[in-house]
Amino acid sequence: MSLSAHQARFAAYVSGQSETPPLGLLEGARAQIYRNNVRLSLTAALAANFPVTRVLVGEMYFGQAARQFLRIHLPTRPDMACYGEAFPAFLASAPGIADYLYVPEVARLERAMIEALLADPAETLDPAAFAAVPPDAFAHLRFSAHPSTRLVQSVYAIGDLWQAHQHPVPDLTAIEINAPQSLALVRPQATVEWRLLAAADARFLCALLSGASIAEAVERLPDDFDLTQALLGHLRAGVFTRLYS
Amino acid sequence: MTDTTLAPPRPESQVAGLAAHAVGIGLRADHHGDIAALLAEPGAAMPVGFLEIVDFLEIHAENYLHAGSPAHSLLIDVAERLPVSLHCVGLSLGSAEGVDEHHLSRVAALAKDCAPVLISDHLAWCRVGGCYLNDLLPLPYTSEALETVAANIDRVQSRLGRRILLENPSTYGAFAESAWDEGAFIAELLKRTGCGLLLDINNIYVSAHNQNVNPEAWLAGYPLAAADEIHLAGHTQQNGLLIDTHAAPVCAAVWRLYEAVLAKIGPRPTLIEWDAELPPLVTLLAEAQAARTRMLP
Repeated sequence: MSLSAHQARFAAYVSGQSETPPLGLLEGARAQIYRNNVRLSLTAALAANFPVTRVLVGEMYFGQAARQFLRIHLPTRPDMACYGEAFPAFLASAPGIADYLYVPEVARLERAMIEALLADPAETLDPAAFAAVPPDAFAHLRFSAHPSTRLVQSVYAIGDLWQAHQHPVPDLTAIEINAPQSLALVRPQATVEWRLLAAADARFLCALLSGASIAEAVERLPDDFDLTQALLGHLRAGVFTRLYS
Repeated sequence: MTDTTLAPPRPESQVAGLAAHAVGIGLRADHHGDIAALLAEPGAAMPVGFLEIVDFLEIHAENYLHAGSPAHSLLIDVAERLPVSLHCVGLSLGSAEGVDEHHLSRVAALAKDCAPVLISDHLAWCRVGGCYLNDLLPLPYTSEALETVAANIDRVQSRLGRRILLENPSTYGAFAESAWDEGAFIAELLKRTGCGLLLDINNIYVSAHNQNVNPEAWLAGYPLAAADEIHLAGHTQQNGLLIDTHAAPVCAAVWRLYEAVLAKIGPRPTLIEWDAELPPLVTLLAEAQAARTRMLP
């Protein structure tokens, strides 16, 4: 067997895609050790990337979900911090999760936090840049997002749930899980910072991030939407790198 | 180039940019806080003698690839104070499909950022079909595998513009089709590529035990004189087999094997590897000190 065929077969076995052990190992049962090691190391990588999700579902469920996940979604990069891009979507349709749909939503938030953490660094937009904008050009401004900016909108209170789990013994009594929350994440310096956004502000930011001008972004927002306050909040947080029209 | 003489280097001599008797420990996320505190305020809240004991720090390259991330920034700070060894686990030197150029470029960028004194990876593979298995998987020691690994090492050395070290693997079984002893296979790779040897004594012990061979006999065919670095680590027993967990102190038998190797080739930069269930930094320092004591009788 060629080395390439040998490695394809070995990989299929250790990842659980195939039950046919690799050929040629003198003690065939030893292949099971490699399978265990691969499963343990990839499960540990997912656990490191989705710590709150793991607590929410319990270690046993998480381990089973990880084993099913890794069979079809092996890492495509060797840095395990990146592993699990598809894990939130996988969890959303995993058995037994239908009654706990906030779980994949928290996973989506944890994934966004990792993406924010690992994004390329960039200078944030200095609010002073507005000084040079003529008043009649203001409505036509558009913004480039900081590489680390992530907007996570959910029908569940995922921010509260995540925050509660930053304590060793989470206090969940005050959490209204069915209250929708939107979070804006950004890493302007060393650490990821996040803010809860009001619903209208989340729609505003969502539009700006998809390339809309200020005028376009405020269409269909409630009359009492405070544009100046919202824009200033995003600027101070470092959500943008550049403005243009 | 491989040095084939067995004359022990003098204690004050250099091996691959480090003092021959240098000792190091792995820099792991669990200790990032401790190390950051040391860099911010030398001596504060640190185990006594950290800088007196630790001559270099070794990192897993794959954990520090993202420029601007807290881990990467810490590494840059560390590299200004101490020599860094870039130990890769993801170059997959044994992959039949060749080297992942994208990953190699990122390792090259990291090497530019932290100017490591050593760069190494394993005689193993972890990548197939563009996917990574996050483990160091075994190779049959065949002529085809030899050609593959040699070509991959050539590619890595040429892209990085420098020589790397190749670490011997820990294995749990042999392949029927292997035509070479592990030591002879590695010696041939060193000869063909000019790379150096990272001799992992614990891996020797684990592999030999798991294949019912005396560890000293396992070492017999090894190009020991080409060792530019030595790794020491702990393993775990499981159903009569030894698993290379890096989750325990170096065991007495591995210390004895280390002493036997030192008696043959003299002191070599030695690293304590501890990757899981990490103890406090002070425990790692004691292990590093125990290695140094054996190099400076």
